[in-house]
Amino acid sequence: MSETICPYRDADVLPLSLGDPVADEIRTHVEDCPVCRERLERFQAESTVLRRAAQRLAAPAPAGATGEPSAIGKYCVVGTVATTPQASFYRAMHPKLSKEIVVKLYAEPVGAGEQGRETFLREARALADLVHPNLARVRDANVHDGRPYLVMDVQGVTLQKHAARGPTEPRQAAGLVVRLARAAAAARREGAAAQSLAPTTVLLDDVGEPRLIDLGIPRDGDGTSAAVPALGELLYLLLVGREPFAKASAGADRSAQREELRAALRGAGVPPRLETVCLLASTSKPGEGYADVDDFAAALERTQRGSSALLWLAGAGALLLGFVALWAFLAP
Amino acid sequence: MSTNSNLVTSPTLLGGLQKMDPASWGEFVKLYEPLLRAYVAHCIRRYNLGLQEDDRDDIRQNVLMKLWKTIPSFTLDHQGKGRFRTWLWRVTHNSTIDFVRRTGREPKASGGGVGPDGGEDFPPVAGPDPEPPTTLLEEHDWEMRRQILAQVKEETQASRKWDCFEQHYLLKRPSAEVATELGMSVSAVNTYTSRVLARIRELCRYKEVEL
Repeated sequence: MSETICPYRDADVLPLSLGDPVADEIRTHVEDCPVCRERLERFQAESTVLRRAAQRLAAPAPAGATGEPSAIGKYCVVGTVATTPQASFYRAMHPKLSKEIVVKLYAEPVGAGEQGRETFLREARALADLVHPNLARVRDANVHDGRPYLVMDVQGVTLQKHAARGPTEPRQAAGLVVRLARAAAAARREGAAAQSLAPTTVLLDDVGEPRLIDLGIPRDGDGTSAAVPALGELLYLLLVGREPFAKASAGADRSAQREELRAALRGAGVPPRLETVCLLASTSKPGEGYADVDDFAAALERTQRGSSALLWLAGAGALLLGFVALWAFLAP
Repeated sequence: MSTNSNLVTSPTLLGGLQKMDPASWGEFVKLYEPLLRAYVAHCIRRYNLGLQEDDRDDIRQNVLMKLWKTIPSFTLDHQGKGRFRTWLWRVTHNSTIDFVRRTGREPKASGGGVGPDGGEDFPPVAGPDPEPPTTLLEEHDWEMRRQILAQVKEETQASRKWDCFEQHYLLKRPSAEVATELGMSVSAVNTYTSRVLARIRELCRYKEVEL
């Protein structure tokens, strides 16, 4: 196969397509050279396209960009799970294991110098020691663009998205919140804390197990007093399918608010004892209601024991009736 | 024969993804995310699904997750079968249908081939995979060209190569005039213009955009 070899470069021929003067030698060459003629045609077509594309340069980039980083350290980001004032949580992939994880990227840069970094890593190591079925497991920690991040082995749908699909059956809702409360208390006993107990910072995994993802080491005095109301609000969200104080009446007086919530819980068919616990937890101020998260969890568990005792009683009653019927049938 | 010779999508970009390299992932997301969003929006309109912004984002995330898991096998399974964006369309289409079924958001099908508000029936009638909508692909190409020009402009602005390219090539001003204005030789204007053009072509090949 014969191939035409052309001694000229693109740069020699380009001026011709732009209407610039060129040496006669090149002009004569191009007339006879199929390679150059093809070049000229391509230049022509390209320039039309590029001039049109250049008109878009002045226009702003199209909307829709999320502003989320595409990678944090070696972890490739797929989307945002939650954003709190302290941190953003991203759904990401482990590059080697192709495994879904969640990365918590702190909003504040790591403290200055080696000491700040060491403090963060020491806290991260403490968090990595937390092992509980309802706490996200911390697997890695590092600093990305000056901001510290934690990598957690957890996946699932946020409680917010779960609730948006409709109310959760009361027994199941109570069970989920009891587990979350127990997990928050366990973290506390280990010197850590669930820093936010929000519908977006709880993930429900594939088998329906709830997991807290916003873990941290509390500074002096932060966290505990707000935990019970936050858990109460999560319980309400699950039972009713929407957040308790989303409505405009948020500023109304407390008794009116409480009545509004009570009506919604009743409308959702929530048993009275569970309703009481939910209201007490979600509308109480610090110092009122439950003493702490364990106290709340115990109260919530009692509502379930009550209902399971009732179920047991009903079952036993049915069995007894069955025996009586059988006896009546077999009796001479 | 090179293993990647049948790939229309740049082997370099995909090659990076196959190594699961975060930089390539970032580039990939930047390049294809607008098209992915447009695909999701198109699917929702097509079947009149009326999903909220949150749901769209879930679908987008699911597609990215699926891509992440399947990209390593892309060259093996899809060699020569078409462009990456056609494949992306199929993944998006199927992920949207999966999402709608899994979350129980299926609209009522009218049974007449056209859905309640002018959308097509859902679930979609089984058949060959639908082709990606050409209007979206055209828009994607224009957006890609814009991104490429913006990138080259940024790369070459400091050395004034971009000025040469803009004045001489895009605005069709004679090189002598541009040379005088920029205080350089005519041959420098021509060389710089040509280099910028070569860089644009290189990026277009890399990002699967036709000129």
